[in-house]
Amino acid sequence: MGNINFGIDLGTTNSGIGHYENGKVVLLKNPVGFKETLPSVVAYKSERILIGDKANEQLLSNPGSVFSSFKRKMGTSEVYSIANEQETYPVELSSLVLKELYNFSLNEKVETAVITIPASFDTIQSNATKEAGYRSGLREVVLLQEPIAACLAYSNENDLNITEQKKWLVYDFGGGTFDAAIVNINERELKVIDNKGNNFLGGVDLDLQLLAKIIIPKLTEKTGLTDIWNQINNRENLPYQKLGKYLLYQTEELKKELSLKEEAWIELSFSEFDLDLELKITRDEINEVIAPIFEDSFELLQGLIKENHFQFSDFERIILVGGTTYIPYIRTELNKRTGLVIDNTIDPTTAVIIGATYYAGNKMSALNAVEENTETPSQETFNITLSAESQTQDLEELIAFKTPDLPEGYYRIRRNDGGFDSGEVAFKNQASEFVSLLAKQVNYFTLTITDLERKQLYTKDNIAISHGFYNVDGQPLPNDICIELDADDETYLELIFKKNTILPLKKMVYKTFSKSIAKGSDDKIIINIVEGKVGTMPGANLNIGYVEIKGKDLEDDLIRGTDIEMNFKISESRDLTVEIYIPSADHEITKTFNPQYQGDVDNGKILNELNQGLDVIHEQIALNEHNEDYVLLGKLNKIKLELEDIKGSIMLAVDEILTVNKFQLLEKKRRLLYEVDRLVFLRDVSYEMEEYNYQKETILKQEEEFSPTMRNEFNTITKDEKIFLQSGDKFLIRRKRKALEKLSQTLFFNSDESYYHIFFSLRMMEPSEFNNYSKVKRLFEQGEIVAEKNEIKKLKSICYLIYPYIKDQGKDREKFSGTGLK
Amino acid sequence: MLTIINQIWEISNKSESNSYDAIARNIRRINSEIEDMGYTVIDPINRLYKETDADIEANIATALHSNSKVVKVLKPIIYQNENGQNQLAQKGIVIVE
Repeated sequence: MGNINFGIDLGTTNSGIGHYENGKVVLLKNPVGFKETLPSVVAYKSERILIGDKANEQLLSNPGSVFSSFKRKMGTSEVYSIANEQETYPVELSSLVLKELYNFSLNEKVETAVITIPASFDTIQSNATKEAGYRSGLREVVLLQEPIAACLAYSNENDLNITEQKKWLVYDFGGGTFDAAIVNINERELKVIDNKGNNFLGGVDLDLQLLAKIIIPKLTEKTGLTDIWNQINNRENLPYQKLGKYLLYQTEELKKELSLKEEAWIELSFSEFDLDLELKITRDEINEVIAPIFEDSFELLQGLIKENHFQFSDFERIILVGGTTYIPYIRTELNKRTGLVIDNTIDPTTAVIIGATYYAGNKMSALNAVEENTETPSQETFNITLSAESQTQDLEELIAFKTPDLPEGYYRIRRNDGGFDSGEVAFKNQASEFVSLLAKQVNYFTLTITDLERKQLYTKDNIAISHGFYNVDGQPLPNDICIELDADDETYLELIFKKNTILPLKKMVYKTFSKSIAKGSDDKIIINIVEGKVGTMPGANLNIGYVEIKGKDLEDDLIRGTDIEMNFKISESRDLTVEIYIPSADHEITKTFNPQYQGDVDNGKILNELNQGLDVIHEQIALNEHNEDYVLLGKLNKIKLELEDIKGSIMLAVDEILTVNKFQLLEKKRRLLYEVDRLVFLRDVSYEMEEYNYQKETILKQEEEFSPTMRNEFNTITKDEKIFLQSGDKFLIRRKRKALEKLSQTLFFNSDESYYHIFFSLRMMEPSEFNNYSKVKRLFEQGEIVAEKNEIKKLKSICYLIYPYIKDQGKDREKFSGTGLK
Repeated sequence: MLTIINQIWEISNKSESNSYDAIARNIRRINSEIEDMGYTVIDPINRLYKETDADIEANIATALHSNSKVVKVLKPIIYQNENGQNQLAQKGIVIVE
């Protein structure tokens, strides 16, 4: 079976689980909310059982059915009454918390684990913890004392090589309890010598003290409100109850901030009390409140030392455990009074989990491998009928199921993004649950069914419910709606509204100008909105909206790189409205296009589209001549002739084309370009994917030369790589590839050595490729001298001086007019 | 990033409650950038309290009843989309009454 590998901190206030993977501890996260710790709180709500955060939030408002701190009662005969005259007890509650932790492990079933216990636990309490482990479904439970786990975490994480006997002190100040322990450590063997604690001393008490002694007096002073403390503790006084919750939250935030800074501002804004003020609090002020609480803990620590006839100087270090030990005052005072090293090298809130997991990762499991697959129910034979709406416009939908073979059990439904959790719900044969949905998203749910002993019988992943994409009551968009934008020397389509989204729709889009337009000039910016398919050539799509912003309509110049704001709206009757605002020129335009709009596109724009299509055809013809694909060549040549014919018609009779003819030509152009796209689609996409992967591989070889900015840029380009590579949008993949190329160039130019290569490449160029070659020649001569002397910086300057003399710089860029938007 | 989103959300609320329209356009712009970066920010104000909504951390001021709802939002809900999948990046911190 191998090692145990799972380590669990079953805490009084919070619990957590870690997994040992490839020699490292991985703290597992709750799939609901993604936190590494789980409040050890259980709520019974009629048929529903909530564990963790959602139970914790009802702790005060619903105390009769919410249970916490039951760890303190482990091994006692304490019984808790729950709904329907039923009862529960500490072992059962602990087993529910444990089971909830197993859900954090998504890839491996938890069957054996190390569970930590306080050093103060006696045999009965220890056995009760074991029983909770077995009740939760574990087949093997190994117990480990918490102080030992903490020491293991510190020694392993810091890779300490201990060769002689030492003594460490563990100072464990958690949310609700305080424990101190003396640990003897010898050649990597650890033993707790003694311990002392207070089960009712913790960080939560501290927050209340800070509220009562600092925040409320300051609030009274600023506002004149009196008796706030008593009022917020009066359960009948609703406005004050709310204020109390608000103030307590702000106090917790303040405490965290003052752990990092010497002073902090707390901002209080609460309309019911007309509160809108800021309070400055210093670390010294909170230290006054923390001091007596620390004093209580220190007395226990001193008592422990004294009773065991030690002095602080007998210890090598103090290991910190628990969130309260983040407070700087506690760390400073401990160091000042004991003179010992305060070890805070790892997160004190997860130290026990880490230690337990190290232990589990090196502890052989006693489980027999043969037993492993026994009694595992077969998912295929589980009889279930499941139903759920796959598409909806509501923000709640029903998931229902029937299981004739299972008279009673529990089910649980979770949304995969962590935003919904039904908790464990008891059912008989059938059940239904309203699940919350995120708007305009495909929401995925997982249903799990267990028997009454909570043995898992069935799991269904990825139950998909789409919100807002399609519904018989709403009119869906038949095609993508896109805007045409510039990219280097071509244009491409960017999605505004996705096919099948329900009308009406609106979206704000922000872009920048890719060229400057002088006021009064004939130059223009084009906003071209098309209906069709993102990833295809712009000219292959139906034009549904077209706006030109001309220089002669402007009162100010438009400067390249400044912003344009476009608000697109499509009504249920499919009228398209475009509201345009240019902040730098304070220029506003609003245009509405009805569905009968047939495109009043400028002839120059049409010629650009035709040229873009013809460029693609020429490239493809050259490629296929090489590949001898004559069938495709025939089709491409035919389209080429037809496109040239349209181009000729438009060029020769620019103003004389009758509107009706123009629409026919546009329709023909669209159909032909669509055909080009279709013919070359697969080849183009796979070519762009190969080029992208090659570029990425090339750049990754120089990864160690990345600056932090380059690293960020690389991460931004490759983010969501799987999605864009599978998008089928060759323009998008090409843009990503070009972005990688630019990054690669930056790397190249960042290296001084590259300038040898650049200089000699320039040197190889023909004289006719330069303007004023006599000057260039002199620069080459100087360059050769400095290159010989290895004067790289001078060589770099010479390269910069030569470059402007190259003829036709940016000529292609000038030819390309594009839309003026990117 | 979450801290920045929270601060922008607060600025937005303050500007709305003080009818300070001058920066509304700028805030809209920033929010659009945040959305483009894959974040969805949800303000759960007035949402009916449901114990199954795992995307909020509720501070419950009174005994719960069927009309208990979110009356104050201290931090909004934030989802982050990576590789096409949403994940809860921050629970909303709310007061329920």
